[in-house]
Parts: sequence; C-alpha cells; structure tokens
Amino acid sequence: MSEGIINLFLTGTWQTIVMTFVSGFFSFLIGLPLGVLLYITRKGQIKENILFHNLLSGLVNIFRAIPFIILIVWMIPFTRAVAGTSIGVSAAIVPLSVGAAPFVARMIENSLLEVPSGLVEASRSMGATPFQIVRRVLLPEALPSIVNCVSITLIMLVGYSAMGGAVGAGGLGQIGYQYGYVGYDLKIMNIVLALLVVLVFIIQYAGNYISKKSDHK
Amino acid sequence: MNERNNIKPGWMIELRNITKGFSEKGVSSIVLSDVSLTVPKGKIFGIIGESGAGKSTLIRCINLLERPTSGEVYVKGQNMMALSAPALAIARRNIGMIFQSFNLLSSATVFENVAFPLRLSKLPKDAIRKRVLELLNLVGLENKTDNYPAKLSGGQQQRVAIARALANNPEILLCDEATSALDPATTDSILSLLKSINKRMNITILLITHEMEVVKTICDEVAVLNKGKLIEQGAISEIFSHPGHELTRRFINKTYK
Repeated sequence: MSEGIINLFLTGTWQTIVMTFVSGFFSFLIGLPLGVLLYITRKGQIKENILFHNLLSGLVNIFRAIPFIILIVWMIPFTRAVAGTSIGVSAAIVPLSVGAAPFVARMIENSLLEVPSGLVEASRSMGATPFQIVRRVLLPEALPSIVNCVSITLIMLVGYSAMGGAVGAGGLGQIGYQYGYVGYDLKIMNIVLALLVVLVFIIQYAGNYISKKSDHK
Repeated sequence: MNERNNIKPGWMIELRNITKGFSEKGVSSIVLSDVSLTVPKGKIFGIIGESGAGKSTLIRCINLLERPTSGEVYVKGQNMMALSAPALAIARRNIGMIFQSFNLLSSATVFENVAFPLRLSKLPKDAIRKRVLELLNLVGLENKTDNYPAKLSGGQQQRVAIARALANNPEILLCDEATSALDPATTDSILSLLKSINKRMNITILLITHEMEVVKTICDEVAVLNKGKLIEQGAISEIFSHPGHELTRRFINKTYK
C-alpha cells in the first residue's frame, strides 16, 4: 500500500472518531435533559405534567421518524448557520447530534424507568427537592444503564457518520463510498469495513467494562 | 396559626377525618374513609390491617407522600397540608421513614447512604462524617462503612435505613412494614433496635404491619384498620384483653399459634 493510501485511512479513521465522539457528546448534551424531562413529567412522577410529556414525546417521535440520510439534507440551512459550511466533518456533527439526540432521550427515559420507585419515595420522605432527586438519586442509580446508552449511541453514530460520508461528511464512510462504491475497489472497501468493525468492537468492549465497574447491584 | 389552639400539647401526630380516593381510568375507589387518630409523643403506635386495608396509604398521608382527598394532618400542631413545597420538604426532615424494601441507593456505600439526608440539608463535610459514624455505631454497622448495600443482609440493610432515617434527628419515625421482609430472628433484633431508639431518643414511632406479633412486641397503642376504616384503637393491654371486633380477635389469635 502506498503512503498516500495509508494517510488516507489514518485521516479517515480520525475523522470518523471525531465525528462519532463529538456528536455523541452533543447528542447527550441535548438528549440527557430531554430524557430526564420525559421521565419526570410522566404520570405519577415527581413533576407530573401529562400535556408537556405528550408534547415532548411527540416531538421526539417526529425526529426519530426522519431517516438520517434525509435529515442531513433537510438540515442543510441550519447546519450552514451553525457550522458555517454544509460539507466536511464539522458540518456533519450538526445533523449527527440532532439525529441521535431524540434516540438518546428515549433511552435515558427508559434507563430512569428501571430505577425502583421506592428510592424516589424514600428521597421525597427525606425532604429532597425534585432537582436533588434527579441529581443524587435517579442519575447515579441509572448510571450503569446510562453507560450502556452511551455505547449504543456511539456505535449508532459510527454507522450514521459512514452514511454521512456519502454526502460529503468525510471520514471512513466517504472513503468507502468514493473508492469502494463509486470506484469499486474491493480492497479499500474491505479495509474500511474492517476499520469500522474494530472501532465498534472497541466502543462496545469499553462500554461494557465501564458499565460493569459502575454497577454495585 | 389558629389551628394550633385545639391541639392537645402531648400529641405528636393528629389525623382528622382523612379520606383518600383514587381514580384510575375513570374508576374511582375509596382507600381511606374518615380516618381520625392521634399519636401521643414518645409512644410506639401500631396500625394493623390486612393487605389492601389502606395502611400504606395512611402512613404516607402523614408526611404527605400521598395527599389526602379530604381531612387534615397535623404534625406537632403544624397543619401539614397548608405548607408550601419547600416548607414541606423541611417539615419532612423531622419525620424519618423506613420501608419494607429498605430503599437504599444501590450506587452508594453504607456511609454515603446515611450521609444522603445530611447532604440534602447541606451540612458541612466534617459534621456529616462525624454524624454518620455516630449513627452507624448506634445501629451496630461501624465496620461496614464502605460496603455497598448489595453486600449486606436484609437486617443489615434495614439498619442502614434506620441510621439514614435518624440522621436529621427527627422526632418521628414512620415504619412501613419495616420487618415484613425479614426472618423472625432478624425481625426481633430490628424491633428491639426500634424500641431502644424510642426509649433513648424519645422518638415517636408510628408503624404499620399485618403481624400482631410486631404490635405485641413493641407497641404501646394500636389501631385496627379494615377496608379503609379504623375499627378500633386503644392501649395494647386493653385491645388484647377486650378485642371488640372479629378481625382484631383473628389477628390476636394468630400470635398464639
């Protein structure tokens, strides 16, 4: 393999990693508070508000229904306003974050649902405020499950970012698309696949390890 | 504060005409109907009833984990239902509570669990440490500070929960079927711990249970709840010698088996 090709893969891998982790970060920045809101406004929860819950839930469902490849194109004006461009790694981070956030919100809501309701009741009996319950009870108790959400989200983002490669996002996806799909270079396509698989395995393995470490049940 | 006027000074808890109804999907049901009772300061007061009698709802009406549909709740003469949310949170710190399923944080060590209510009250770090060790000493778990609850037996977990409930020096301790998940020997040790807490710290204890054995072992007074209504109440000696209702007799007979 020529040095050029190796450099191509190095850059591609790095770009994929950046896209995955930066958009992973932003998707949790948006999705985590949304997931907490979805949970605490449910019937019987600490800030029950059925109307708000249903509105937010509907909004989350709408965004989850949009296929990612369409979301990228649909969001171009917004992406341009935020990132200053609509192609490349930084532009891809915008739709990736927005695409994953509703998914994260739902997973966080589900993680919180697993926390035994008796713990919330006990904290209320001790005079904890709703904010204290979220910060000191719900989130720490759901942590092992939230760590699993992080790995699932990151793995999903590896796939999404590869999809974004087809429309100029850069990264391994773009290499696979240009050299593999358009140029039909099997060798390059297979290397791209192998690198993506390795990345996914590393994320999954690290996620499992951290989740297990944080679980004291 | 006119409400204070007609409260007798020796009463720690007073419930007046508590009614609680739930409505689920258009079907409404009455869980508590017109329940009135008074718990004297420094006593251990038991409420006994079969499952579904409304005991859990009743005990939760005292710290307003459940809000009565109608009626009044007074704790130390304070009208609980008139309190704002922040004032209620503060009032709750004077009412400790323990549960059948212990409800400890699985993600926190024994030390952190007991420190939890103290952190809520924003106590300084040194004071928290001192108080937690004192409490763990009281419940006999001073060598388990760094263990996680999952590593403890049921009895030990309930001891942690008791230490946690006592952290803010409450004057009242509510026990929601606190020994129902424990074996008889552990039940006895938890009950004698509760008794000694009551004697040494002069804490008023209100407990609910379905076992007359528990009532007989530690209570000074008992009330019998049946289908959401209080059917009788009085001193233990009185109720045991002259039970007025068939259900009460059945509860008593079970303890002689």
